[in-house]
Amino acid sequence: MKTASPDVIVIGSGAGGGAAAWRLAQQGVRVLVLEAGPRFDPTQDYKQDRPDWETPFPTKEGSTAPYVAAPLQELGPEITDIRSWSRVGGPYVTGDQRANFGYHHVRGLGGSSLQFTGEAHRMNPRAMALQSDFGVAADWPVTYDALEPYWTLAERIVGVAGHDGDPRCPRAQPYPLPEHPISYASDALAKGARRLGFAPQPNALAALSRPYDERPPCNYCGGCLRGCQRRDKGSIDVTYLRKAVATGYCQIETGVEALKLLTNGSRVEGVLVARGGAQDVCEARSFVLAAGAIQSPRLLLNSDSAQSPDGLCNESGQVGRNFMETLLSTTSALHPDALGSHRGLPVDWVMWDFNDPDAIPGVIGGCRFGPAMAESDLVGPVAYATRIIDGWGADHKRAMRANFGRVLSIAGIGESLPNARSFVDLAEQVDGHGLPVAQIHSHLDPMALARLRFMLETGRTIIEAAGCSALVEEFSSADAFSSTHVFGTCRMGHDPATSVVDAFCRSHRWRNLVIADGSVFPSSGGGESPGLTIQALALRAMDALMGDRP
Amino acid sequence: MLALLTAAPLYALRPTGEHVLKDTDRPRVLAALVDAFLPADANSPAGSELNVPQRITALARDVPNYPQMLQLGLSWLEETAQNLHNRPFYDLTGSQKDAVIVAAFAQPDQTLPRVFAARLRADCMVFYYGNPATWPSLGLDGPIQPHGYPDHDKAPSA
Repeated sequence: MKTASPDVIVIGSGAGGGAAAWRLAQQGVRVLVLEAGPRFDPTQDYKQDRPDWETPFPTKEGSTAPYVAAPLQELGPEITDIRSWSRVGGPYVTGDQRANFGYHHVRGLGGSSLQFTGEAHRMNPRAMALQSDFGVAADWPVTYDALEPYWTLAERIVGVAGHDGDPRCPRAQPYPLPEHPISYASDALAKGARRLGFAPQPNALAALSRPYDERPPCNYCGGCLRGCQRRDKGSIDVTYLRKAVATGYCQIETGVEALKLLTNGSRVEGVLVARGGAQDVCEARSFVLAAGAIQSPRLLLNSDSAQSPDGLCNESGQVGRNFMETLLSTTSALHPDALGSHRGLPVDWVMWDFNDPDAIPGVIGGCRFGPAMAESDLVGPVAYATRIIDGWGADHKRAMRANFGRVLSIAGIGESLPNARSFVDLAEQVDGHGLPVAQIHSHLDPMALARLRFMLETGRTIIEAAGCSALVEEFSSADAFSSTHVFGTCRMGHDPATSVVDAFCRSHRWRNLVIADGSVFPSSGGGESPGLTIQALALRAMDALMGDRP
Repeated sequence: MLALLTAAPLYALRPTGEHVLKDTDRPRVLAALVDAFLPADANSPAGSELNVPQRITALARDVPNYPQMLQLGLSWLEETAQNLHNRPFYDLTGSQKDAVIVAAFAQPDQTLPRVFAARLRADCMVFYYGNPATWPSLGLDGPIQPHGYPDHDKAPSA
């Protein structure tokens, strides 16, 4: 296949782009995937088998996308009890302004799935109608039942191991793989939750519990966030993209950055790209934009023209609006018993007790809980020495030996509702091509802070019920913007006046342009990880694009 | 980091120059500080045995303002040791070194001694516990791959 003659160009290769490319290529559609970042080789680039394994996910040239954060909100005394701190280092955020800890992403082949924990969740259907039922956010223009076969398909492609018995999310078929065993330490935490009457259950994870699809099973190293050397984690590069290339209909180019979408009449006809120091135009019949909820609106806003003076697809003025972030809390404490808590899958159980939008008293929007030793990055000696064990000298060494493997950590992730002060626009700062970079504006309103307070208080209660006494660290979005899951900036909906794309993720005006990433979410869900739903939406959108609308 | 240094109250919180730390003595003070943070014991080697001082020196070459912080911080240690005990920092007993370090951590936020002590402590821990030679004392026999933790659902072995 020649680069110049694809039927469809897919911009971005994460959950949405990868799923879209596979679905199209599987049907014999010629696809060109343009990925701005590099390719990661799990064997060469990930470090789990080396002495410096405890370092974060590797960076390579071009593996982070440019963005800035606008000044964040001032912090008042009303949030003193929900701020971030550690026993060793004191407050994580000093002063009275919310800090930017970052939009955590990977720009590379496979996108941020390279560093995700493997959580593979469906949406709670009750969280998909927040406008109708509660007067907040927007309703999804697609139902749970319409997405069900696509979630099932996505689970099969990435290889999800899960627990068949979650009444929130009915299933037509069982999970393709049996659930993982819960680690010894996570089980201690789960017992605490059960003592309080909660119902933790094995999490649905795109990590193999059996050999599957020519990949080996997980060996529970806990290093998912640093990239999976074994390739058992269902990241997009080793699943959808591998399969897409194998069809012979998909070509992938890395290090090619989309700069601007070009239009003619009522259609997108090309994309201006930077490739190897030169600029070029790639043409196709249709385009799939899947660069994520920060970079997708940036590309659209940078694609303004005489026909689209406010940016492409922005006839409604909604491009970049409705930004929703990761609302996160973690609480960590030392357990009196040796648990070996550095072992096992991250987030191997999940607790949906407060996931319904009305489950938290006095607050709209739910949340979920799960173990977070790995997500808190408390699984190695360096983390213990620098963040958990205070002091120095012989006492510090003795404490390290006595306490390594005893940290328990619990995380809450909550609904993030859109508000007028949270959005993405273009900054004054420009990139190497002279194009404005994305600027994130984040604001937590009183209800978000109340939800965070509930998450922290509940987490502390569970930690205590698990037998821990002294807390050693807490993190809270209340005083730090720190997001992996981002949503909403190209909202989907039925009404072109209030949304960017339709129920099949197709631009209301530019009908040969599909947006297939988290930016289309009308609401974030009550803590569900979005990757599987992004895949399902992309698969369904591609079926519609190919004229096979179900 | 420079902002932290220049924003610090100056008197008594920076070396006064009364006891000048010679360039030739600086490695000995650094090694003494590293081993005060990470002394040898029956289960694991001292920080200096694992080249932690050399790693700190190398790090200083890569981090803006780190060399100044290191130089000023080591001078502060030396001056405090001389003022308190009339001996070089590296000649102090273990408890005397600890007292100087405690004094550094006891200074107000954002002052040179406290920033220096906290940063050096953190970097020493990173280099020391990032060295596989320290892992057996914690019950670890290697990096997390290729073996993983297939026993993750069992109680850890003693």
